[in-house]
Amino acid sequence: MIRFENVGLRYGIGPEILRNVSFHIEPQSFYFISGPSGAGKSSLLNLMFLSMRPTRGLVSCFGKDMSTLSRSELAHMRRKIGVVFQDFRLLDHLTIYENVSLPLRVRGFPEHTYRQDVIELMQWVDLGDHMHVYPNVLSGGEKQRTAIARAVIGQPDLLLADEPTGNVDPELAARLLRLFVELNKMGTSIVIATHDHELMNQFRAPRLMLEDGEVYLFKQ
Amino acid sequence: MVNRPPHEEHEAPFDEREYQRGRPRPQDRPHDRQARGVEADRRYVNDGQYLNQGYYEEVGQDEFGAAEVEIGVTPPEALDGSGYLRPEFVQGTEYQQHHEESVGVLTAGEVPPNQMVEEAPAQVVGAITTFGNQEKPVVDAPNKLSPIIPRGTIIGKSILFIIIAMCFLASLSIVSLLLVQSSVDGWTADIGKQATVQIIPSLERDVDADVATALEIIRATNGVAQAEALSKNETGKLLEPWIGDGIIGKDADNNDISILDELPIPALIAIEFAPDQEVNLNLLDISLKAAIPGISVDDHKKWLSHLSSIGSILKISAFAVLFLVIGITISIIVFATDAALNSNKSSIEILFLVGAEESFITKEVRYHFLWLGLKAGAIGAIICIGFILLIGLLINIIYAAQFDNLAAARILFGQITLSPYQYLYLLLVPIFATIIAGVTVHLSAKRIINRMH
Repeated sequence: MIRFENVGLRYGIGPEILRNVSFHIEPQSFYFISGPSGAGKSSLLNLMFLSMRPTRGLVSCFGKDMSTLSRSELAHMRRKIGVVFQDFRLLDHLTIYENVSLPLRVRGFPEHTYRQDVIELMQWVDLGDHMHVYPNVLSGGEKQRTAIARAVIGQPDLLLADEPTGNVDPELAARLLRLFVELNKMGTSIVIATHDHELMNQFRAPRLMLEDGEVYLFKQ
Repeated sequence: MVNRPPHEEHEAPFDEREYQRGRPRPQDRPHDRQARGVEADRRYVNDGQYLNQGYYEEVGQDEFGAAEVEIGVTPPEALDGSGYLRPEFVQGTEYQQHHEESVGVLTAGEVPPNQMVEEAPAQVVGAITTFGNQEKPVVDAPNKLSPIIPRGTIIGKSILFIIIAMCFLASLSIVSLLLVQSSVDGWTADIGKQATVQIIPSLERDVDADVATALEIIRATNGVAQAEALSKNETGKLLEPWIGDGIIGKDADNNDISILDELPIPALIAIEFAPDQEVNLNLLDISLKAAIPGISVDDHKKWLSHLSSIGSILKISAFAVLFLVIGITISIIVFATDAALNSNKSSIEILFLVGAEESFITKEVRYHFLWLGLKAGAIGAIICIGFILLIGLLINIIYAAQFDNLAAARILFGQITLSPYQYLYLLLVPIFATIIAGVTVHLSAKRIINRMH
């Protein structure tokens, strides 16, 4: 699904943030990415989400070399990947319903074709009574669930989540994990970047550990 | 744990639409089939009367001492076909036992719709997919979607005002062009079909006889509709603006007396040509000169060429103003697009991240500016029409007060009124404003988005 081969990344003329990173995310797999703060977790996720290009090495996504993709192909590739950002990145001027339906809207689907799906998904994440609410009045957990709903509404093949439990209490974190596990069972590959060991201990999944810019794989 | 009243209608988590979209049904997937084979220590997360949500089971502990769970879906034999578990399948299971202990068994009718039911602790009975209680009232989705990029952040009131002003100036330039053209046409039409013959008086010749001869020759010429000699009074009136009043008066016997009698004033013959016939003025000139020495024919071509030059200069000026206004409008739209996209940079980044193509974002921004162009163009044109009507009215009042011959004053000095079909030209303003705004913002947005990449 996503393959990294000897990937290196540096910002400007600074030192390499990531060095010789090689791994393969298989379809329907579940991975944690872990490591100390500043180890490059977010950079790695950015590379996986195709929002950055590596300074060296090969990143192939769904069988295609990322460096050869046109902008249009890149947009279509991103539609196969859902992302839950650490800071949620919701659009404050849109309601929760509109935020969740955004990935389908940008694909040009008429609203009536996805309306029921969005409503069901919002009920599923217990935001059915928040359709008209704007993100700035939501709690951290509600924003997180909105971000997750937005990431999965397009039925992505891969879901990337950056610290998805960073803003929530342990009980909600456990529930979010169950949500990801459920999505994984439905066929979506999940990659969660976190430094929350409690969370990782709740579910047996391989861990990509980042240390000094290099990635080590720990199979559970 | 969610308690869903059994009488409420709902859809199963995996319905036919999911299947049609290409996502395999749970029971079709290999890992789910594998999961169905595990029978030991299974806890169902819902009972027979409630929505099926899958199960998890503890299969051991990992090296950190945490419970290791396998999560799967309910086997198909436990389902009643509508997303609920069969009651007999739940009877006697660990789940039912727990459920009875914690919240009691709910039967049909006990839980009214939309009533909250206390949630069971998630760590004991794992509701895999649900958060809280799904019996909360579900609000209808909004009927109308908000613009993805808010209009207020793209088009401020100042931009609207400036574009309206530009459209007003453009409308005014078009009106100026039309008025200049109308005036030049009026002058050309009136003067072009007239000529004047002038006979210089001399002591050797009888002016009246020369006038009669000239009239004879002129009237015999093809294409002349009318030829009349101007009387002394008429000639006097023409000279009044230069010489002053009192040229013509009455004597004690009430006879017309004129100082023109004592001056060598040329005799004038006014010729009007037939509208559909060409007159050979050269031939007329030669014939007249042969018969009467000192006669001259003035076809007003000199006047016409002067007026045409003035008209052309005015038209060029109006075009220059129009192009200047278009140029300024384009610059304003480019700056406004730049500002709009930069102020919405984070929103645009999010749109890219959720899979938007450049054309989608360009379309979103273009939509706002097309409206801006149409609105500003229409408002500018309407203000211009009002302005022209007002000025036309004022000019008519001034002409009426200043000139006896209103029609002649209108021809000579022009008039600020448009014919109904000329007003249609102002429809071009909103149309062109929309096109210019659309094309400019499209090209500008593409350039800026390229820069963002």
